[in-house]
Amino acid sequence: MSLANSGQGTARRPNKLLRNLPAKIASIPMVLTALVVFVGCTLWTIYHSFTGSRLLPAPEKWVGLDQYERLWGTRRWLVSIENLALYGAGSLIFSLVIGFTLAALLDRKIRGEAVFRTIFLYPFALSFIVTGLAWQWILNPDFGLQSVVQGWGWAGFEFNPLNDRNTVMYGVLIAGLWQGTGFIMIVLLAGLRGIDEDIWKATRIEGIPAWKTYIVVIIPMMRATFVTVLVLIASGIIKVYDLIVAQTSGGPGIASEVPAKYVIERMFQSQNLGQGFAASTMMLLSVLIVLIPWAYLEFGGKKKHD
Amino acid sequence: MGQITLKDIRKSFGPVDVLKGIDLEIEQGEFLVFVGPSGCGKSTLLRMIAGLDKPTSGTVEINDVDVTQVSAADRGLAMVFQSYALYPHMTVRQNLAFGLQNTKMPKAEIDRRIADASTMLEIDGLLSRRPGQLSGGQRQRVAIGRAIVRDPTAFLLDEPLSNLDAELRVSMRAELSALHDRIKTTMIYVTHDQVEAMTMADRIVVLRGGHIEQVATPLDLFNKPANLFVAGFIGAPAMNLFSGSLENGQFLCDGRVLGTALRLQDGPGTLGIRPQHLILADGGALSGKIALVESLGIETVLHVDLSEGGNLIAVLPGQAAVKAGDQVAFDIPRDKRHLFDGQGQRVPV
Repeated sequence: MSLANSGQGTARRPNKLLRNLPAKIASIPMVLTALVVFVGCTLWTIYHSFTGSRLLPAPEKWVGLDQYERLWGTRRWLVSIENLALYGAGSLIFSLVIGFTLAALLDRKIRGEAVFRTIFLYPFALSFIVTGLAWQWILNPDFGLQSVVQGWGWAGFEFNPLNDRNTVMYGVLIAGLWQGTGFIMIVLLAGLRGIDEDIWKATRIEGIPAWKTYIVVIIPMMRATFVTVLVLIASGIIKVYDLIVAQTSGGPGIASEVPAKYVIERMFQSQNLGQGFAASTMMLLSVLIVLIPWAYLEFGGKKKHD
Repeated sequence: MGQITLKDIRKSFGPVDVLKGIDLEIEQGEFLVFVGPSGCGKSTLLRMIAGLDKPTSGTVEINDVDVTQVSAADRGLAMVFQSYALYPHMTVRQNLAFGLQNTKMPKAEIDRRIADASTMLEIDGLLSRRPGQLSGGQRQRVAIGRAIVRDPTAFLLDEPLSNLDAELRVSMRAELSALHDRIKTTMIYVTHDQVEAMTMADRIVVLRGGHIEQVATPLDLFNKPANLFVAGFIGAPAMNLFSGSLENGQFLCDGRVLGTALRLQDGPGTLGIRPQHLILADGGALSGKIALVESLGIETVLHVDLSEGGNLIAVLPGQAAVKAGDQVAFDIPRDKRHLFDGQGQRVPV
């Protein structure tokens, strides 16, 4: 079969499409899912956030930005945004700091490393519902931590965050950190293990103290791991819902509302699909606001380098 | 400056004894090479000297000061690693400066040292690049530069050329030797490659199983190996070793007389002769059929199956006119033979 072309330009194209045909056929379900469910449904939701849908989607009732105006005028939504910001900042900072400290300690090849690793990772095996319930009980003043410590003799001990409007999110934060930090620690430990041992020897010979080595040498070398960890933490923050439902039911009052809960309740309990769509579009927007500049830095910048 | 003494160094990791009593005096300014098979303890010994690990017992002295309990950073040494261990997110200049900045050295002094080292190693054009943008040889030079700027009492090099390709290794060997001639600082070099050891060392320490087998200059090691292990380790292809016995001044192996006029006690022993020293001779003591001919151009390597059993390897200069299947015979010249007793120790002939 001669490869010399005889001027059949357009006849060449089908061959390229047919290359790797079995692989392409196998990936059709995933491609369809991605297109229909992720992209398609997202666009559908965004469109319907501009409509007056109540119990059922009503694409013909266009209302423009009405839903958004109502959204940003609702106190419950504003409180949930505030709570998300607090939970997000706390989650991010403490997950990273505690996770990295634990990983660094485990990396020092201590005895019983496997035992500690298992202990730290156990909470991750629990669902958020179980976590929320458990911590609701632990933080209950009448038979939780407060009463136990008071029983030990420390009468003045108070630890009752869930019943106070101002501190309830901290109680939720503790539960969330307890559940998720172990997993962050494991991912960071894997990243630490990937660092060439000779780097440590080099810094030791040069007399660089351990803390400085971590900050100036090791952490910058683990950039890819930290990006992964950030994505994991961020996705955990955005979707926090079942933890709230189990631990505080959004209370006291609306003091621990979060956006995901707002969306679910508007859509399925208050029979107000339009509001729910608007709120979830706002959540998507906040993710994009963070994601797009980062993607540009990561991938757009590289082309300039070369 | 740069004199190191090791006294009865022992190191065990749990039940495993890696170093079993090392006594060594390293002279100031010498290029000393630790060589030996994998697992012999040479890298562990280097780590003991560096202070990265403490010996289970024994002492390390630098310039007559006991530094066994002193931390690695305070021993005034510098190390070069097989994997270079450069900081990948820092430029070459930052890599060189990082350790010095940590000692609060004035910036002018740091800059001067970096300038001197980078000129000496010809990396002055690379100072603003990252390690990822350098070739293997350049990275190795940066690693050496990082050691030089510390102005150490001694350099410790842990198989630094093992990651380089063969051609680069040859040129880097010469560069390292030239560097040593120039700065005259003690260098302790670990390798498993005996060619590197032979070409660069002032003295070689042959290690096996945590023991020192022999310490000598390269040529002494080649000409007078102290035992069977050193005899077989130094020189490639390895020395031919024939085990047999001494009787009445003759060495007998498999019924052949391989050596005469040996004024030594009777008993079992081993006779050694290097492949390059065998002489083609019709009717020679070692005869057999050629199993394999390897023509290297400059020399020819023959693998011979001996008629009385066993085999040998001979290296003939030039391009010998032989082929597989030919019958050949060799003689062992008297001045080139090595004799070892029943315990494998060298017996002067």
